[in-house]
This record gives sequence, C-alpha cells and structure tokens, in this order.
Amino acid sequence: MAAVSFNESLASGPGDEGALVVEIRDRLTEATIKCSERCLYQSAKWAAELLNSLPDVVDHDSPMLGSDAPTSSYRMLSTSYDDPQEAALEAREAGKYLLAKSLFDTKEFDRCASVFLPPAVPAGGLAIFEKSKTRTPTSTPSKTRRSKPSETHSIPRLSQKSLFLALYARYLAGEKRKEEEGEMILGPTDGGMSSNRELSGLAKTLDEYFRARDAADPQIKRAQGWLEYLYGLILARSKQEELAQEWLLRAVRLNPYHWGAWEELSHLLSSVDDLNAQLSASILPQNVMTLMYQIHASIDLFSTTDSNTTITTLQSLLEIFPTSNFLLTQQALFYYHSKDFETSSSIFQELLVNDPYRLDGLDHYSNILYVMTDRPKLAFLAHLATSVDKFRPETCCVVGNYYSLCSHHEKAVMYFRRALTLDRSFLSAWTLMGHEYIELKNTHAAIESYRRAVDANRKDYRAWYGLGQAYEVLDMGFYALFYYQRAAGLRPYDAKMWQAVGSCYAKMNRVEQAIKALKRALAAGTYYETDSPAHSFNTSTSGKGKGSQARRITGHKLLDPETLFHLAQLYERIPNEMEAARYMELCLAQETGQTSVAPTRTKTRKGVHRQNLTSPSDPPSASQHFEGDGDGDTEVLSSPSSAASDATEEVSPEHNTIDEQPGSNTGFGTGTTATTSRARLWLARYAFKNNDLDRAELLAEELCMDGFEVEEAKGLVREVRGRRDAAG
Amino acid sequence: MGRFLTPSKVALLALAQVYSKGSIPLSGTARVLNVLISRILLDSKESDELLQQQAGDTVLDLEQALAGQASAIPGRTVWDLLLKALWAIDCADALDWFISDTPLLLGKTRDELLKERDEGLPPQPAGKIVRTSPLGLFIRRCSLEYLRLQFQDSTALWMDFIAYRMPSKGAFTRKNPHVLRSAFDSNIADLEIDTSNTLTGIMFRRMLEDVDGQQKTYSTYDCEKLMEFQVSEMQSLGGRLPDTMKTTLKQLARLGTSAPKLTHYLKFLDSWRAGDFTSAFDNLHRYFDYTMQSRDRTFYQYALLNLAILQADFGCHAEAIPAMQEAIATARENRDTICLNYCMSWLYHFGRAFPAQMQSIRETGILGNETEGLNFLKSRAKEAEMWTLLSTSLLSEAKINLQHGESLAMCFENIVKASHVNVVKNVPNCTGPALLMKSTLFSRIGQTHQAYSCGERFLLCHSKNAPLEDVLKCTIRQAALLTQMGRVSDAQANMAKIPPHILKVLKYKIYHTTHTLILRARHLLHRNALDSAGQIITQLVSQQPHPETDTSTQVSLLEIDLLIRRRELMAALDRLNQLADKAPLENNDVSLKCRLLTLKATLFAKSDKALQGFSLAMRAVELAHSARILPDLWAATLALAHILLQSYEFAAARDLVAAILPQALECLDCELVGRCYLALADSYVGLAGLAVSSEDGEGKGKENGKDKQTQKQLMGSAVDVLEKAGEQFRWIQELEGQLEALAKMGRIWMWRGDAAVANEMGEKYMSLRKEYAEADGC
Repeated sequence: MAAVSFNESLASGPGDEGALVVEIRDRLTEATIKCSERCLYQSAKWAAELLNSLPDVVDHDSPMLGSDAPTSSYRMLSTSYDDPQEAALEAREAGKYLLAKSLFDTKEFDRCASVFLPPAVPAGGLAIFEKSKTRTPTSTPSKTRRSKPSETHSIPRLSQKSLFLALYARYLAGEKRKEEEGEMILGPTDGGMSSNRELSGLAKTLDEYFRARDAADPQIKRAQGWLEYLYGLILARSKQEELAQEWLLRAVRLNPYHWGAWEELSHLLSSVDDLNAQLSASILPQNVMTLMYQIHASIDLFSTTDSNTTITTLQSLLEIFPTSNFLLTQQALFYYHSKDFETSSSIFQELLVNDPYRLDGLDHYSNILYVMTDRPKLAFLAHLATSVDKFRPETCCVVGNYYSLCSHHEKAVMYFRRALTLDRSFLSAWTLMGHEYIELKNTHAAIESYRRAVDANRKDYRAWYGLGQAYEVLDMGFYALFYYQRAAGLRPYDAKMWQAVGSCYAKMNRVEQAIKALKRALAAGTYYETDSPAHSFNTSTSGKGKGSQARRITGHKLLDPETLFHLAQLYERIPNEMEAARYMELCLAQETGQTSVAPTRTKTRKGVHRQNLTSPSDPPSASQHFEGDGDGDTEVLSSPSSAASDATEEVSPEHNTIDEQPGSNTGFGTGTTATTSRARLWLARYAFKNNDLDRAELLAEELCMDGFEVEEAKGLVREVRGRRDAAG
Repeated sequence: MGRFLTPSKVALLALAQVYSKGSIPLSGTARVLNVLISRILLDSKESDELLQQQAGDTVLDLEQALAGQASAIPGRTVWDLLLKALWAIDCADALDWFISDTPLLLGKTRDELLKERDEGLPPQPAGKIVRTSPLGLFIRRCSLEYLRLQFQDSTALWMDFIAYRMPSKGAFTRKNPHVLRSAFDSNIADLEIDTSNTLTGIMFRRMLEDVDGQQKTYSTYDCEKLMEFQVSEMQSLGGRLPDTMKTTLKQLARLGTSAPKLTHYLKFLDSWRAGDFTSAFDNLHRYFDYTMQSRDRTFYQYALLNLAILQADFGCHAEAIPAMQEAIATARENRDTICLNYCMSWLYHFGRAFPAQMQSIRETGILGNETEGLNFLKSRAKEAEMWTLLSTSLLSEAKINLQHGESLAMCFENIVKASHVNVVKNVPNCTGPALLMKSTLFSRIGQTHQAYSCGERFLLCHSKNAPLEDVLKCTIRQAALLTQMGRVSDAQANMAKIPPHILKVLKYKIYHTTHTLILRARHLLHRNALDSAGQIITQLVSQQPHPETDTSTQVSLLEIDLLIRRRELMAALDRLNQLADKAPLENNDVSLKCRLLTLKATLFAKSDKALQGFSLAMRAVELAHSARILPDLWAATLALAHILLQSYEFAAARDLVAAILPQALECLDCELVGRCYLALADSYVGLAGLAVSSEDGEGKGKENGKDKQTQKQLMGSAVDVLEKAGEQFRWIQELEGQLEALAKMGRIWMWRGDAAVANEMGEKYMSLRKEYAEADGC
C-alpha cells in the first residue's frame, strides 16, 4: 500500500526526520492560521494540537529558526502569499473581511454572509410573488425562481477566502435554522426530517462558481481547496455521496492539512472496502495526513482486518508526534474496538493527566469504563468533566453513562438529552439514549433514538443492534433480524451480534439458520481474547506492534458455554441428539477450559477447513471456517482445538488464533456455572436414556456435589440405581 | 448550596449506620440517639443559637458529642467507629453507594411484609430502624433528596464532604495509620499524581477558593428552617436580627448561592425595626414580587397587611388604613381567616391607639363599636383556634373595662380568662402581657406592691417569650413605680439595664429614651432644678406628637407641673384646658379625666380661688370613686381637703385627710403621702388656732393661751406629721416639699419659743437648699 511505503520512508534517516518535522511544523502552522481565518474552528484546533505535539526543536536549530521567523510572520500576514492575484483581492477586501469574520465569531451568520454576498432574496424582493401570479401560464413559477437567483447569484469578484467565509456562514445559518426547527429533543417537531434549506442554493452557487473557474483555469492552479471542501460538504449533506467524495478528494489533494475535509471524507465511507479502494486507487495524496486519515477511518469503521497495519502506522506516527492527543485517542479507541479495555483505559488515563482540560473523546473513555463497570473511575471522570465544563456534550455523555451504570436510567436519559440539545449531531448520545430507553421499557422512544443515531451515522453497530433488541422486545422478529444482520455485518467478529441473530432465527423457528448463526458466534467469540490478565501489554508506545502479536499467541480461547448450550438445544429441536450431545459435552468442557473432551469425535474433513484457513484474504479468525461451506462447519466447530492442535505445523503463526496447548490449560476454565450444570444434567439424562448408567450416575453425583439442580440430580441417581437393581 | 443534603447530614447517616449495626452498647444508645435526634429534628429547637450551630455543624462538634462514648468494640469509641465509616467513603462513587445503600438500614414496609408472607418467601434480612421513626424519616428523606440531585450537585456534595471531614484526618490516621491513601479522592491516588497537579486544581477548584476552611455548608433546607425560625421570632417578639444571624446571612451571600426568598422578608423586618423605611419598603416589595409566582397560595393580603403595619409604624396613618381595608377585602375574598383575623385585630388595636384616625373605619362599620369589635375578634379567634389572638383580645377587653372605669370584677374575669387560655393552649408569649395587665389593674386599685410584684414576675420569668415591646413597657412601668416609691437610683438602674437587643429597634429606642427623659424631668422637677427640667421638657414637647398618646399626655402633665412650679399659673391653666379639650378625642381614659379635674382644682386652690375648684374636685372624687381608681380618688380627696383648708374647714379637712391617709400609704406614692401629711399638719395647726380663738379664726402659730393643752397637743402632732412629710419628700428628693415642711416646723418651734431648734431648722433649710443647688449645678 502506498501509505505504508510512505510510512517506511518516514523512518529512513534521522536527518530526514528533522527536515520532515520542520516541514510538518510549517505546514501545520499554515493550516492552523488558514483554518481559523476561515472560521473552521475544529480543524484549526486539531491542527494546532498536532502542531504542539511535535517534539521541541533541538537547540542547534535555533539560529535557523531565527532566520525562519520573518517568513513565517509574512505568512501570517498574507496567507495567499504564493498567489498575487488572490493576495491583491484579499488586500482589497481586508476591511470587509474583518467585519465578516467578527460577525461570524459572534455567530451572526446571515449578516456575515451578507457582507460579501447579496442576500438570497431576489433583487425584486417580495414583488416576485406578485409577478408570478400575473405571469402567463407558460412559464412556471419554479422556473422563474430558479432563473432569477442565478442572475443575482452571479458571484461578485471575490477572493476565495472571502467567498468561502460567506458561503460557509450561509451554510451554518441554514444548519442553525434547521436545529431551531427541531425544537425539543424527540419532541413533536424533532423528526430528523427538517433539512438545511440553504443547501440547494449553495450547491448551485458553488456549481456555477466551479464551472466558471474550471473554464478560466483548467489546470486548477489557483484553487486553494477550501471551496472544494465546502462543496463536498454541501453535497454530502444533500446525500450526493459519490460526488461529494470526489470533491472532497479534490479538496484534500489541494489542501492536505485541513482535517475537516478528511473527517468528512471518512464519514462517507460505508465499509472497509471503500477505504481500501480509496487507498489502493492512489487517489489520495502521499503524506502524513493520509496516514492519519487511514488510521482514523479504519478505527472508525471498527475494521479489524488490517489491525496490524493500523497499529504500526499509529506507532510510526506517534514517533513524529509523540504527545499528540489525537493519535493517542485513536490508539485507545483501537484497543477499545479490539476489546482490550485495560490498555485502552490506561491510555485514556494518561491523556487525562496530561491534559485535564481536554474533553474530546472522553465519552469513549466513559464507554470503556462502563463496559469495565469501574464505577469509581467513572464517577471520578464525570466529576472532572463536570468541573471543566458541565455543558459540553461529552460531559453529559460521561455523566449519563455513570448514571446508567448506577441504574438511574431516568437521570441518564436526562443527561443524554442534554448532550443532544447541546449538539444534535452528537452520535453516541443518540445510541446511548436508546439504550436507556430500552432499560426504561420505552421501546418506541428507544427505536426513535436508535434510528436517529443510524441516520446520523450508518456505521454505528450499537445502534443497529439496539434497534434489533427493541424490535425483539416488541416481538417483531423480522425487523429485529434485519437490524441484527446489519449489526453483524458491521461487526462480523463480534459474538454478541451473531448470538442475537441466532436467537432471532430460533424464535422464528428457522433452526438451521439459527444454528449457523450461533456457530459463527462461537467462532467470533474465539477471535477476541476475552481475558488477558497476564499479558495486557503496556500502554506505552514502545510496543510497536509486537504486543498485538504477543497477545495473540498467549491468549487462551474459551468457547462461550451459553452459546454452546443454546446450540445443543437447537440441535435437540431438529432433532439431532448426537450433535446436541456433543455440544453439551463441549459446554461442559468449558468448565475446565479443556477443549478436547469429546474423544468420540471424528476427525474427518480436516482438510477442508485447512484449505479455508490458508486462503490468503481471510481474516485471521476461526470464524472463517464457518462461512461458506455448510457441511463442514459442524465438524470444524465441534473440534476446534483438535483442529488447531493439528494445524500448528500447517497454519502460519499469525493465523493461529487457537490455543497451542490444548487440554493442558486448566486454569482458564469458567468453573461450574448454572449453564454448565444444566448441560451436565442434560447429559446425565441423555446417558441414562442411552443406558450409559455409569456415566449418568457419575454426572448426577457431580451435580449433587456442585449444588446445582440437586433435587433433579438426586432423582436421577435414584432412578439409575433403580434401573441397575432391576437389571442386576 | 444543595437543597437538603449537607456533609453533616451524611455524617449523621454514617452515625445512623454505626448505630444500626449494633456496635453501640445499650448504655450508650440513649446518648447516641440524642446526638442524632437533636440534629435531625430542627423543629424541636427552641433557641436559635442551637439552630444555627446545627445548620453548620462541623465534624468536631460530633467529636465532642461522641468521643467519650465507648462502643461495643473494646478500645474504640463511637467516634472512632464513625470516623472509620466516614473515611471509608474514599471517592465520589463510594459516597453514592453509601447514600444509595442507606435505605437498607430501614425495616420493611407493611406491603413488603405482606408480600413476603403471601408468597411464602424466606424472610429477607432488613434493617432495624422503623420507617416512620424520626430517624427512619430522615434516612428516607436523605436518600430521596440524593436521588433528586443533579450530577454537579452530587459532586459539590462530595467536595463539601471532603472539606467537612478534613479536620478529623489527624484523629483518623492516628488510629488507622496505614489505611488512608488520599485525603481527597482515592482515584487521585490511583492516578499517582499529587494535589498540586492541574487535574486536581480543576476538580477541587471550589475547595481551593475556600482557603480558610472554616466555611460551613448550608443546604437550602437548613437555611429555610433557620430563616423561618428567625422570622417567627422577629414577628412574635418584634426584635431585630441578632448579630450571629447577620454574619450567617453574610456568609450565605458570599457563597454566592441562591438564598431562599425569605431572606428578603428577613431584611424587610430588620430594616423596618431599624427604622429604615425605604429599605423596608423596598425589601417587602421584593419579597412579595419573588414569592408571588413560586407558591400556589396568594400572598397579596399578607403583602397588604405588612404594608399597612409598616406604614402605620412610620406614621403614615392615612395610607395605612386604606391598605388595611384592602387587605381585609382581599382576605375575605380569598377566605383567608387567619389573615383576616390578624387584620381585624390590628385594626382594632390601631383604633385604640389612634382613635382620631379611625373616623372612616367607624363609618364603614367594619368593627362596630369597640366592644362589638372585641366580641367579634374573640369569636373569630376561637373559631380559627388562634389562641394568641384570643388571649390578647381578652386582655384588650380588660383594658377597655379599666379605661371606661367599669366593674373591677369584669376586669379580673377577663384577665383570668386570658391566663386560662395561655395555660391550657400553651401560649407562652401571652403570659407576660397578662401579668402586665394585672399589674396595671393592681396599681389602679392602689395595690402598688402587688403591681410591682406582678411586673417583677413578668421580667423574671416570662420576658424570654414575651414581645420585646411588652418587656420594655414593663421595665419602664417598674421604673416609674420605683420612682414613685422614692427608690430613684433603683429606677435609674432599672432603666439602664434594659437588654441591648431591645434597644436596637429604633422604635423601642425612642420609646426608651423618651421615658428616661420623662423620668429624669420628673426627678429634676422634684429637685426644683427647673431650668434643666424645662430644657428636657421643651425637648420632649418638641417631639410631639409621640407615637403613643400616653406619652404625650405624660409630657403635657410634666409641662403643666413645670409651669405650676414656676408659678405661671395662668399659663398652666391654659395648657391644662388645652389638654382637657384634646383628651377625650385621643384618650378617653377615666383616670386621665380624673387627674385633669384634680389638677385643675389644685390649680384653683393654689391661686387662692379655692371655691372655684370645689365642684371640680367633687366631680373628680365622684368619678374616681365610681371607677374605683383609688390613687386618683385619694389625690382628688386631697385636693378637696386643700379647698376645705382654704375655707377654714379645718376639722373637715383633718377628718378627710386622716380618713384617706392609710389607703394613700398603701399606694406607696411618696408625693401623695407627703402632701397628705402637709395638709394634715395644716389642718392641725388650723385647729390649734381655732382652739385658742374660735371667733376670730386666726391660722397657724398664733398664741392666745386659752386651751393651751389642746393647742400644744395639736401643734405637737403637726410637728410629727411635718417630720413624716419631710421624710416622704426626702425619699423622692422633692426639694420644695422638704423646704415647706422645714419652714413650717421652724415656725412652730418659733411659736413654741424654742429659738435654738427653730434656728437649727433654718440652718437645715438653707443647707438643704444649697446642697440641692450644688448637686444640680454640677
């Protein structure tokens, strides 16, 4: 991949690196200034943060720095230093620009736009309506309306900076109005239906502008990338995603240090494939920002396939920007998505200490703490966030999560609502609010908020999953199934999704499919390491990807006994008692962590799945075994450990996700649980039915010892003895 | 400021937990429960000192209360256990757990018990504290209030809690050396940063601002309780804000938290009492503007009531009355009986105090005439069970009876009724006024010692609960009685020892000053320091009209006295006539009428037109007799005797004076007694003259030598009586009387031919005069 090659070039030599840092510093400074000139506050913040995370310049550079100073201040004064024409225009408009900028800063968007552009109302004012009435029927009003503005919209000769500011202000004014129309969160008028009315006008203006400019300047030498970004943004908002992507790519090529454009671009990605397509088609510029984008996008997509690349890229970027909060947050998110909560939370903790005023991304941290059910830390975090600023969506999310963990769901909902009132596009709050509504048994509200989450970002698997849950509560299986499938599509290696799909199928009496889904769940469950007490590798950046491999080797995989039990039950329903019994055995085996308990298993068809394993494009997962071939899967699944034990010599180490020392690792078992006991009881009955009296007695006695289902077990023992007496 | 929860309440919860765990031995239970309950039940508090301490209880107060109490665990006191519980709360989440778990200390509800029984569940373990006990209620309230907290409020509680328990850190670490990780938050210890880090700076900004660490935390609930208590104190006693409360209020203002609306009302009351009309007015309006919306009950009538009282207090009677009428109308409209009764009562008392202003009210006939009004008030008070009002109405009725000179039995009956209500319905703040009324009654029937003892009882036993005004009035009365008895220095000491908090109220301060001046002027008049007295009296006159008609009358009487002593009898008569014309309008007290008549008769007697005064004196005697105002009766009789003396009816005069003298002595009025003795002496001397030559009717000191024996005897008794008179006058430092007695004695000795003694008398006369002149000159 191109990005990787660039990545390698980064680490080529120390001298180059110094030059690279200086270059990046300059570019970032420029980007910060330009972004803030255009009131792109978030991007400016991002660039400035990154700028300050660069290591300090070593002393011997200081004379050179001194000589640099005039140029940099020159840049500050006139940002279009390399384009005399633009510079002249900007100089001419300086006064107006300053006015427009201050209006923008005071959030008077319409007024800001009107500094440079004539107001959107046609020149004739309201007279146009009267005219249209008296007009001959041949020309429709819509046509006049379209033609009229285009006349007035003939853009005055402006610098790109001013034009951008004006159009951007108009766009934001539209957004603001849109939000105001929504009124209360989830209120009667807040249907997510209202749209930004400025969009079409803006799109048209920009379209004309670009057409005119392309004609005048076919090489697009004078383009700065900002207007392209705005056009892309507007197109994305009006759901023309293909076109939007094109324009955004153009923007990114012209102006790579504008993070907002990258972010917008990543929102347009719907799957990893899109990202890969972008990367492989080499339409992206070759620089450090592309790497940032790549990381951000793949983490955003929960992509797990190329985690190695992601982590190595991250590490190398962290070498350039050792204290970048953004990168560290991304790193933490990466571990979060791969369910390594400990590492993730420790990274966040470090971030917290280093920059306690920074609230960005803390909602993710609170999610992690929520999953870890670490109430004290979550309370602490909420306390900190509240002390910094209690009216930030992030803060509200943290507090909401805390209350959710304390089971104060009403309060949690209140805080999520507050978060949404502060920022309607704050995605995670929608999803989390949906969760809370589920807890409060308000399924309809839950569905609505999940729906809003999904509308805002189609990649949020939790929202899809939540939707499924909500419909399952309402006993609408087909709907639920659909949403679960969407969720599973987004997170193919998450057992929970497949379990949900499976149980949904089971409810709908589609046992075959249910079995398939559950098997996938089992396989997916083995993909993530569930417990890593010993080897959760250090948070420090020194790991450099080794850690991830180390983790993969040492981890011990347990199959989820619940899923196994469900599977067995499903087989019983088909009915296929043999299989059922085998799964029950397997379930039992999880008690001790031994995965090779079923000695009776046939080891045929190993070849089939080995073939599967070696196919190169596969993700390094056992789950791959179950995709595709419906026949072989039962075999493979029923003996994953034996397969693995044989596979060691054939399968490349990185693909070996399954424990290398089967059966010996008794320390990792689940111990006796209610589920395994039920499995044991079932097995005892099964053995009894099959006249395997010794085994039945043994199992029943074990049950008595464990203290689960004692009555039943005793009854069974009595029966066994009775029958033995009768036989004897 | 939280609504209800404060760190000290959390500490109480912890103590409740310690208590319910059974780690307190049986012997100590009562003490621990006492500590708990006295801090939970604020309503049971009587003294505001305790209440204030409660609102800002520090952890050290608890230590004081509990440190000595051994627990069931050997070597540990209850305080140690409490500390352990307090310091076990090591982060915000632990506090959450702690408070959310407190309901587990409670017993099960009836529903739960029934459910358990019906479903045959095994009995779940539950706490022992009964849900409906005060402690149970407190726990439930705390956990409910905690649930209602917003997040930032709960973190505020947490930080306050840290600050609250900080003083006990030393005590805790001494007993548990290695337990404590961080005095702030265990999460900080986890992060391995110290308190100087920016992070802690952000989180505990609140605490860093409060450097002195002495800040007490109040909850709105505590504040409201405190203020309600203050308001009721101020309303029932009529005092001002005590200084401690003022500092508390200042503290609250500095905390920048939203103080309850009642603050404005407190300020209103305070500035009203301080005599700051504009602030009072402003604050009153502010209070009602803020409360208009917040409660469902309409407060307009109360606003008007307060407004009317305020205006009346500042002398705007013309505005006060319409305001009160509107208040009454509004109260009627809103069916607010309590407010209505207050309005009526106030209106009635206002009418009593300023009859001249009540013309319009009398015309509308809201209250009918005085007795009707009172009966109306009494029945309403009984209906609405407003016992204070009933009691005061009964006392008012007694007062009317007295003023109208009606039957004494009725008076006593009313007082006894009022006392009965006070005792039966527990109205402690009316006991004092009842005693005061009784004291007045006794002094009217000449039982001055009884009156004095009633006043003493009031001041000794009931002054704490009585309105400050009554305390002040009683003190002044006592001082007046003491002066009358001739214990002038005691009287002055009495006046000086009035508690300063009463004098902080401007109105009372003025009242006190006026009466001190009146007493002083009277004293100076007695001492014949007419110029100084004149100065004071002009001062007093210039302050007319006084808010109390009584005071005005007293000042006028003093003025007349001064004029008489200056021998400006015509002017005195004019002044007297003026007063007599005005009196029935302002104050139709029988006693005053009587005194005026007597005074006029005396005036005529002094100007040698005794016979002109005869009918006046007779009327005065008749009036005083029918109204049973004994001191006035004796004074009037004395005036009559003077007239008789002037018309040479010495025997009749002697009989008259001799007849009233024992009763006059009972009144303990030195001046009256002294004058009686003088009159008696005159009559003796006159009789002696008659005994010698009854036909030519010569007066004193003539010697005809007919019935020498009788004459000598009479002259002897005259000297005796004169000595007694001199003694009486000496007590009240009445110079003129003493001089008169001495002069007369000198003349008698002269007549007897004992020049030496006469000379001695003359010397005494001169030295006494000099002494007084010197003393007053200083």
